[in-house]
Amino acid sequence: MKGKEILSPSRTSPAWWREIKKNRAMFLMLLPGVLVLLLYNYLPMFGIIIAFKNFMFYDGNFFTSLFKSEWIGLRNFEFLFKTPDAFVITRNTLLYNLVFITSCTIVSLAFAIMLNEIRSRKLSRFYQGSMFLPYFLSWIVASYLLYSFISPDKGFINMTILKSLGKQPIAWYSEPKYWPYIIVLINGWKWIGNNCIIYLASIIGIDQEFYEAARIDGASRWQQVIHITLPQITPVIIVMFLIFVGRIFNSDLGLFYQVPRNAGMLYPVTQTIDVYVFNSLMRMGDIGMSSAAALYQSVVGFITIVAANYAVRKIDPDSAIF
Amino acid sequence: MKHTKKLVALVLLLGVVLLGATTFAAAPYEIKWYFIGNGQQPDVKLVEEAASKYIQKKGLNATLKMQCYTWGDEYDNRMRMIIASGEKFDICFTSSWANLYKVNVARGAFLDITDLWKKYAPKTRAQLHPAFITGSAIDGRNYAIPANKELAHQWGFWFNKNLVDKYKMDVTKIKTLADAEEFFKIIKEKEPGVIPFQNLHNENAVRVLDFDRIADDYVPAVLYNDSKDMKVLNMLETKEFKEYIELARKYFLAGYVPADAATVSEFVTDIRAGKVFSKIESLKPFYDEERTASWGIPCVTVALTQPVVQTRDCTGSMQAISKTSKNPILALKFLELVNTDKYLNNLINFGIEGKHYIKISENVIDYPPGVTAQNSGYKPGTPWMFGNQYLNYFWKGENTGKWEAFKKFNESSISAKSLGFNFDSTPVKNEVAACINVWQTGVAPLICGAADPKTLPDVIARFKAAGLDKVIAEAQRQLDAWVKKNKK
Amino acid sequence: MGKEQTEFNRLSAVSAKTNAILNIILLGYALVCILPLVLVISVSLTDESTLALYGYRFFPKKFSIYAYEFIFSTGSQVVSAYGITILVTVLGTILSILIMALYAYPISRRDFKYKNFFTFFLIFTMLFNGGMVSTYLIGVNVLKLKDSIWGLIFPYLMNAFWVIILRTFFKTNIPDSLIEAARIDGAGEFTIFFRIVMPLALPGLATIALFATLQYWNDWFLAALYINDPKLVPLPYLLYQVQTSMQYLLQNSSNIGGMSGDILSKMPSEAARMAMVVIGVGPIVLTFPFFQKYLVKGLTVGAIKG
Repeated sequence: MKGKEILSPSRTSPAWWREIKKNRAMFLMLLPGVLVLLLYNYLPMFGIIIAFKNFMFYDGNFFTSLFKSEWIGLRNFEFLFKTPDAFVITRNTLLYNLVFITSCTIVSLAFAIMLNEIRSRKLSRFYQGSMFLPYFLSWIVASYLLYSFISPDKGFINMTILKSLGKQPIAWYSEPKYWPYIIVLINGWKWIGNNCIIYLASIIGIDQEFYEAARIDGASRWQQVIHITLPQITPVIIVMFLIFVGRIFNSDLGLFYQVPRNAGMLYPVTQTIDVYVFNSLMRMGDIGMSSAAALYQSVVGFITIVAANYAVRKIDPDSAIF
Repeated sequence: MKHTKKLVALVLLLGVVLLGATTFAAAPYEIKWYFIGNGQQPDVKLVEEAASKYIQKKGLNATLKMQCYTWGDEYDNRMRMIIASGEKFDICFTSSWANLYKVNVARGAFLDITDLWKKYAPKTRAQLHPAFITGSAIDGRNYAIPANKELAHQWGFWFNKNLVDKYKMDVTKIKTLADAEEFFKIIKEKEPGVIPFQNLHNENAVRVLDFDRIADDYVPAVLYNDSKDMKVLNMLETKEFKEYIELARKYFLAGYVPADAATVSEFVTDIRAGKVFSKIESLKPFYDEERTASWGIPCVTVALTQPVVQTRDCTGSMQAISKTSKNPILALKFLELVNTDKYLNNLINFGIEGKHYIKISENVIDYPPGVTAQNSGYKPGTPWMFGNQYLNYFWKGENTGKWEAFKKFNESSISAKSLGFNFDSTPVKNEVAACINVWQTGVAPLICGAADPKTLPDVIARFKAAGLDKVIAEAQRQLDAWVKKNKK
Repeated sequence: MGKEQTEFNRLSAVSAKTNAILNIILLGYALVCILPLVLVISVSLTDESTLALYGYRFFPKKFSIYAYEFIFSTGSQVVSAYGITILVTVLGTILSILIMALYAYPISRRDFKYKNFFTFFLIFTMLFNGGMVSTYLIGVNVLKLKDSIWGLIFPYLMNAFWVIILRTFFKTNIPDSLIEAARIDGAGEFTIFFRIVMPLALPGLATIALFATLQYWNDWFLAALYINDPKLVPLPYLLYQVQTSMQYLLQNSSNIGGMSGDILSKMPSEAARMAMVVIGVGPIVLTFPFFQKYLVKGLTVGAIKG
């Protein structure tokens, strides 16, 4: 169709060109971002086919190697499912993520509202700044700090608290039952400051006229929170939720590998897909298999995010991301 | 047929190289060398310049470019990127523990140097113990040049000498792990705060059983070193293993082993603080001297096993030529020089005389005035990597009889029956991945004594579920084929 | 501005009792976040041998600054690395905020026909990537990022998550009517963007700018991918190298034999690990109040209109 238009000596420019001209400013604004995404994110996506190949090095460059390597279908994906632990790692990944999403959202939202409500701006800034500090501690450092508390024979809890209470020391790193709590708490500790600031910024951005109107109507502070603050920032909450959902099959290797110190006995509750992939591929160095694992996580995440977005669209079209 | 083809290819290659050499004689070829160490040294440029000048004088039309990446993940990650992306380079360090040799060979990253080596680096080849050459070959072909150093491994006790002397212990009478118990007991009673036996999961005494782990460190498919029938076994089902975990459990329950042995990996900190009485180490001649220097704690060692050469021992430190090298012959010739030329070898190891070291006698060196280990501009500190270690100078205070002792040690060692066999895990990689995972959960606690030996059948069952039997069968099949081919 | 702020607070404040309770909760949590860092600082200033004997303590049993001396002596690069990190952080933050805001604005506009396409185009990159090898390959061969300062900046210019957050801020905080009014007044799209949208979204922009700053400041990953030249090494990468190789040397002995001797025997491992945190985190914490200034300002729509 387009070809015809170009061939026929029409005086009107093609439809797409008219579209671009009409939205010129918008497209111009998008341009730098689109370029970055195209160059750094889309261009390398040909690499995804490694997941379906038995990747070997041939003379020449990466492309020749990729091209000449044998297609092996889904064989690189098998190791994810052929393990007896397949169920446990999938369950752990999913459950932790669900708990993280809900708990982090509720707590950071609560903190954001509190920070907005307290009278002293100075204190508010101080609290908010402090909450950010855990973000700076890498998981390695966090794991050492945790270890200083719960090491079985040197830790503060065993040696000081439990001892003074006359209780038996606990072998923390071999008792799986404590770890779901520890993991959730530590994850929250690290990320709540970050999420909280997003919510706080969106609360601050709410048009003050809403509150003034409510005050005139005699609404209490609590009522204002329920009827103005929360509804106003719902779009942000939904977006945060949708984005988390896209990473439902991913997990932070540092949190699940370094913090529990890769303790074998804790695996039933600490091993996630990423930990499994890391442990088993670290020694084999197979880029085909690691790409397969990453692709698997992406595809599941993609399906979940599209489904969740579809659900949101049904309820409130304006809050959907796309 | 295959050989004639290779020969033709070789001749062609040679022709091209010669042609290239005559037409572009003016431009020296840059030899790019990647290796592992303490990071890029500040004065590396000076050493590169000196080395380039020297090799040109020796007739190689080349310059040298050295790039060092640090320990841990960094070297592995960098090399994975560089190799996978097909980047052009010439030489890289490869081994059984970093930039994995077997994996890279299986993927075709390294050049087959079996024939080229004989031609362009003959002296290097001749000076190596034959076990190095067989042991580092994969399917009879060589893809890397091992560094000439100590060859065998030997497991034994490391004891903190301060404590041994304090309680006048006669540790020399120890012949087995069980013999050490009386000493652990003394330490436990008299030295609160000291760990009698640091038997951690990653530095474990199970190594004293000295099985030939032919599949992977974390897969219990093993051979006996002196295996008569070459039968691959499940290590967990052997009598030795069962006895060992009973003993490990006994030591653990007696409190000789740290409570968190199954999870702690860092062992050096406690040793340096003088809080450790003993552990199991890989010994070699003058081990005591080296360790005393590196950990700052004087030590006594007691060997528990014979010096044995397994395939893995031959691949601990090697240099491979990349398939992407534009001039592999030149790279080989360069390696020949590194391995045979005392000046070049020591230049790369210790830097420039007068600036980074001074000679105090023929073979002994020291820091120049004002220079220390801390502020020296060139101190890679990895002489076991750069080729022939027997060419190295000694730092002041080091025992100069070391190289002789190394040679003797190599001669006295026995070779494992499977020396030269390399397991190809590709056909069973899913099972290997699953087994590695079971090892972490199941075996690590058992070998530290943190888990009851009664759980062993359970662990074995999990390995079976992960497909261990399939791995063993595949290993057996490959081994049988190898035995047949090599008429062992 | 300060006056207005307090005025507004008094009018809308919670009761004194609630205020006290909220403060107690927040203070409690703030302590949970601060104390570990205090512990880190304290450990970094403790003599290594006392650490092995007595463990971590909030007050050093024996004071020592050897860990810092050690880091600064082994890495004479520390100062130049600070320079690189500052340059990358400033340049990267400014550029990325601009590019991300420019992208976020059109997709926030309800009347822009292709907003869903471009949002999807963005989200897709959050989920799928070509893997490290092909990304590296493009980075080195097409974008020429190897041993270039751009290698530390370019890859993080667009963060899909933050763009979406920004888009949501634009969408919720900027009424369509305002843009319409400006358009009737004859303002072009770019004028509207820079004069109305950006100032109104200041808290959101400050938040994302803070995130971008932290990301550029903390990143070692890009350097580990693209940088070989010691002159271009940023601070986190330098620290990462020391940290991982230290970790390795403390956990493995058989591979590298006794040859790691010299470094190991003098290395203050525990204290050094913590000192590296202090060196790495210290300066960036000081920039915090700068971002917070914009975070609480909260320009109102009325202010813009008036």
